[in-house]
Amino acid sequence: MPRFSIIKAFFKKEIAQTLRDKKMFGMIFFAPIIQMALFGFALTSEVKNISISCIYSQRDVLAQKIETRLLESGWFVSAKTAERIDYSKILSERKAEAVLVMQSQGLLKEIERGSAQIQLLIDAVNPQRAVQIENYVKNIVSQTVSQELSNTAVGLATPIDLKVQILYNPSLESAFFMIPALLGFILCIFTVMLTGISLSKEKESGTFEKLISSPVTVWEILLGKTLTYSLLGFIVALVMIFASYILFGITVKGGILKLLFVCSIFIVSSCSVAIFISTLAKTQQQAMMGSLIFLFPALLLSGLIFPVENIPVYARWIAYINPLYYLLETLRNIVLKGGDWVVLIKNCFALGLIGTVLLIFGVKKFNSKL
Amino acid sequence: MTKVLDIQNLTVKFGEFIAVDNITFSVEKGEIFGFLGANGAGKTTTIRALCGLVNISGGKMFIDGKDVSKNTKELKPRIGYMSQKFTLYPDLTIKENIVFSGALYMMSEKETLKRMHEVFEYVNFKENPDEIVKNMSGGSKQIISLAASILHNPEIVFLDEPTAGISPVSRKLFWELISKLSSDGKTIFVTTHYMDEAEYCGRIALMQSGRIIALDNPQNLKAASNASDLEQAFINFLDKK
Repeated sequence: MPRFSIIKAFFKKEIAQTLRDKKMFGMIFFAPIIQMALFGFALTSEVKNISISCIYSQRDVLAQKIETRLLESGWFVSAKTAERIDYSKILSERKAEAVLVMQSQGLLKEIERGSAQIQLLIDAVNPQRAVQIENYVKNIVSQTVSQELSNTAVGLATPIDLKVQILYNPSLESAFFMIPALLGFILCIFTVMLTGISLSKEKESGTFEKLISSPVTVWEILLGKTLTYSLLGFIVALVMIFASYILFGITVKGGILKLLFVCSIFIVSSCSVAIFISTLAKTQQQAMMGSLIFLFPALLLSGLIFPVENIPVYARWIAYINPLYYLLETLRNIVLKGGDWVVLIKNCFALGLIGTVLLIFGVKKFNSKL
Repeated sequence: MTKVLDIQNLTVKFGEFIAVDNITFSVEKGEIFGFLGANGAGKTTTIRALCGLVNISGGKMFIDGKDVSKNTKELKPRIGYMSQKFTLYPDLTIKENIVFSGALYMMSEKETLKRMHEVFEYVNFKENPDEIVKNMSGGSKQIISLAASILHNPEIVFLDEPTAGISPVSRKLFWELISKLSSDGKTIFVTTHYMDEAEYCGRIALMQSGRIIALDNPQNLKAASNASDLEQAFINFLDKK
């Protein structure tokens, strides 16, 4: 059984070391808030500020309306293109990202005749952005056209009246989607990097020799280290929850307790990864590199930025053994939807399983000899 | 005299490299036993093996009749180890370092600090315990390290080059403390580079390439090699080999 007084001594030592280092203190408490503000405000997955050039005859009222609607939507800005002949040149010189060509003598008349044609050219260097631009334009054109048709004597109305209700994030704010996941990612960075570096620091500076020559057990060393940095991680998580409320008005729908519960199950996995890294790393720099080698793929295959559903099936299996994937999904569920019990239990079970396997592996590999 | 340490045919290998090559010796209770030899002679590895810090490749080690490999957990509280490396936390204060070291041996803060003051008083160490360790001189750091390794009142103290790089005054103080520990009945196992320090030892083992080439008290070693001082004796023994 690990002895409480030894774990307490480790805790006091680690906290004194961490808080005495002013740079570290700043990194722990202010960097996450700055990162959150950056991710929340700047890194939005919404496609905005698309420069578009609409080409049509000045007498075409419907085409004019389409352009106005595009610009009013807030997604598009008008590209100032003097040249209106060579469309591909407009795109290749990045004067516009999209060109909408409506060259007819009257779009409405052509629609009535059934021979209307509109051409949309999109710069698809960024394919994701291109698909979104296509959808935006298609929607706005079809809405404007159907409205125009229902207003005219022809009286053609759209056959389906589609009513859309957007749940959980009605204003479709990217920040709502990003912040809960960012919270999880920062918790992961904290526990993996700080624990890993702290363990390697003992080895690099020689203090590890003192620890293992004393009667402390491997479990006491590991618990003393991991509990400290997990607790610091929790404090940072709480600071971030508070900051996300102040900055973005995000409230944790499912309650903070549910959130901390999931985080604590996740921490078993992240600390085990840190223990494993420290068994391979002899210096702090190596531990830092090791942490990055884990964190990058863990981040990319977690659904923080790219949805896991978009990943090809063979690579998706890597995501399914990535503890960060389950954490982020559960955190988003708790923050935005209130934390559905089925999702919670399913993901906590997966996290628990991955954590146990990693822990057994990490502790077995952790050597109490030099 | 009772044998406290009994080492029989100890061998430690790191891959193909033989760090300690089949050495046999014993140390008696209350003795100051010195290990002399150049860097890489196998002194540190022997100490590390005795403290259970490295896996041994052959032989047996007994502390008070108990096999070290099988009773590591039971024996660790009975030994004190001061590494060649600086094993204090430079960003903590003297007091924080000492209290943490004591806690590793389940000592209360009060008990630890009382012991710290005793040791510091004995060597006339007057630094402020709330001072950060990295600001200390080399000699002060060694005194604090020694204090940290004998807090729990161990029966055997392993000191690996404890006086390396410190001033002659600090070295003298240090050896006075070691002699005091020995007269209190503690067994001291010390490695050193300094021949003058070796004179303080009851017996000395001369080591070269993982082997013990001579083992006796300083007078006998000098007599056996027709040397006036230990340095010359060491050279003569190396030449004989």
